[in-house]
Amino acid sequence: MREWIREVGRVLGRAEVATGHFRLDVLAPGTAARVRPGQFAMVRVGPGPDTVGGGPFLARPLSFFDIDPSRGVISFLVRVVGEGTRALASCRPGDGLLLTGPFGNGFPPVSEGALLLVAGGVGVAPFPPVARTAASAGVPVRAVVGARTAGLLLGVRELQEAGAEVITCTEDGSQGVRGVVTDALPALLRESVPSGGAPPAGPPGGAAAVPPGEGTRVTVFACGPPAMLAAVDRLLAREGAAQVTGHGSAEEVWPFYVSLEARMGCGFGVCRGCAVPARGGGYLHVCQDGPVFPAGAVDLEGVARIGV
Amino acid sequence: MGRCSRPVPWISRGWPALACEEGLEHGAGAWPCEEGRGQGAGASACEEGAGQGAGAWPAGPLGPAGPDLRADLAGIPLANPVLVASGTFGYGREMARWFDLRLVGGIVTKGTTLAPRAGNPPPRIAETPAGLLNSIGLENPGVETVIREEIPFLRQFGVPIIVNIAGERVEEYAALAAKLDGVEGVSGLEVNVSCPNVRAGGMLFGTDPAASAAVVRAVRAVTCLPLLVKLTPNVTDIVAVARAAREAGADALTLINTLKGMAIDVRRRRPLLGAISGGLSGPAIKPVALRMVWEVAAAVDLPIVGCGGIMTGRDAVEFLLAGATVVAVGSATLVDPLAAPRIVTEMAACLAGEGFRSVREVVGLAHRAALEPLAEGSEQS
Repeated sequence: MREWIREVGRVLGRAEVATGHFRLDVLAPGTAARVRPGQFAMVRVGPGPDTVGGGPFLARPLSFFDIDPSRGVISFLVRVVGEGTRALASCRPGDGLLLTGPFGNGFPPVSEGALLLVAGGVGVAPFPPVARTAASAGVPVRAVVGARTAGLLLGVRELQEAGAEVITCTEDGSQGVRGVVTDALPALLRESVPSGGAPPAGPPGGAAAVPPGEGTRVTVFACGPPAMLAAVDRLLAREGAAQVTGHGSAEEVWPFYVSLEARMGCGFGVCRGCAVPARGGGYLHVCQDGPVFPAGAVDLEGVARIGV
Repeated sequence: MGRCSRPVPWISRGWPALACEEGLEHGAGAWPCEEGRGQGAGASACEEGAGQGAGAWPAGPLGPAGPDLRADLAGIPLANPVLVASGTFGYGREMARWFDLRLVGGIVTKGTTLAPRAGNPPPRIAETPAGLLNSIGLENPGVETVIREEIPFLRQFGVPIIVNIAGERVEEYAALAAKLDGVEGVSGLEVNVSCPNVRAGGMLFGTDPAASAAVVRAVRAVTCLPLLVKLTPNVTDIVAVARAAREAGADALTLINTLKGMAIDVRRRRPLLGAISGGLSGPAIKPVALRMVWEVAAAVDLPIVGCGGIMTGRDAVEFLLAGATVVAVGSATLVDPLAAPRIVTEMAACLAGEGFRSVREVVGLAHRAALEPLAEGSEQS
């Protein structure tokens, strides 16, 4: 089976899950059969590869919010930010979407220790499949989901259904922890440092998940605005230095991966458009080297300056 | 002008049978001589509307009843007249995961420089109406790596390889050409005097006929490879640059490269691209490209690679009618990785539907039609 496919997906359903945010369910069996959690598809409005006019020219890179290979259905979470995402969010059931992919590396599989997901806004998109895969492998999964206000919290139900314990943060305090995701993280990290601390509670009613205890290795995955990723990176470094002296670098304590966005031309490596600054100089390409990077490989402050 | 003599009449060459089935293994295809053409398995008449389905390759464009798609580009024999344009196909590695590269007529590589280049600061891509802006900045691994790693990979497909070369000084172009001359598998060079995205080179040559000629002359002096010169549309009179390139020894002209443009990010109140400006491509520039192909075809006796916004076989036929000997597919590959082979099939169907039996008879045909009123004495002032 070829790793990449071009197929016309059919929109099965569209739902506005929060103001300006849409979930699209798309029948695309070829794509659904190939996806690994954390990969992305290039999605173009219109069924024809030669469609010109009426829609955006370039396809948009979108993470897989849900993957159901048995039904051949994939889902995307789209935040309307411009013309392309508006066109996608305007699709109706029955409409065709030109899909190419799945592209990129995806998140590394986590089969031991515990997994901590950190999501800002629509950055939650790649995490439900990640959580499901880890939880079904017996890895306890917690997810910190942040938004400006309660009405904009995304993916909470999907993450819970995938077997994750969800901690919500809102900047206005309307739900969960008041503040941003980095305000909720220190307590969670201290609970799970290898030198000890109280093991955190497992997911409510979660049977499979085992609470991480002493010595548990916690892997951190983050996706969201670049400024948030940079803040999480700084926090992990600071907490690592403060809490785990003698355990080496923060990265060894908490393996930390980020999933990045970039403006993309093709999605599969030929245009070289999706460059992001590498730590130590030069560039990495989100479509080929990512979208998931070890946080140490990327100049996250530089990515935050560029914006998306 | 001191051209190299290359007695390579295209008709004397053997021609590859186009194998159009997806499962074709690399290297499995025979390269039969002329008589064997069209007898390969799966090759049959082209059908209107073929090539729409993903995955299932349609009947071969070189079937017995299909038009003869072969083309001669300055002595480079092509199985069909659809090249892939520089910068939209990398060095073929990623594209080989999409389709059998032998389905295209030839491959023009990513712009290659003497030293490796990391490329321009991001963002490098911006959407525009019916197209895109890019400011990649000639990111490439450098010619040594290209010769050592990329050409050997590409040449296994047996498709003509044309290496796009770019430099900041005349001597760099000459050094690049000297290094690539004689490299097995390299069929020609495309001299890029038209990249809008590097500060001290590329387009600075291409906007000046004398500077363009200096580059072409320097390259011509060190190689007998067929030389394509890729021209920029960012000039008042492209014919003047085309003539200068021809006088300096160009064997063919590729036109057009991207149009210089920019986009502004309103929210951040600054240019969207990291390099401020970039090159516009896609269907948005097709009318400009067609007009320039037309003008150069009428004035300069060189084969033309027509390029700019080709999305369909019908677009490609427009370029042939305007005077392009062959076409190159660029931005279409970004949004449809199977665009180039799809366009080969669509072009064959379009030509067949219009009653043509070969590509050659189409080239420049629209010029003749445009002259017909003159022949009837109805000359306009």
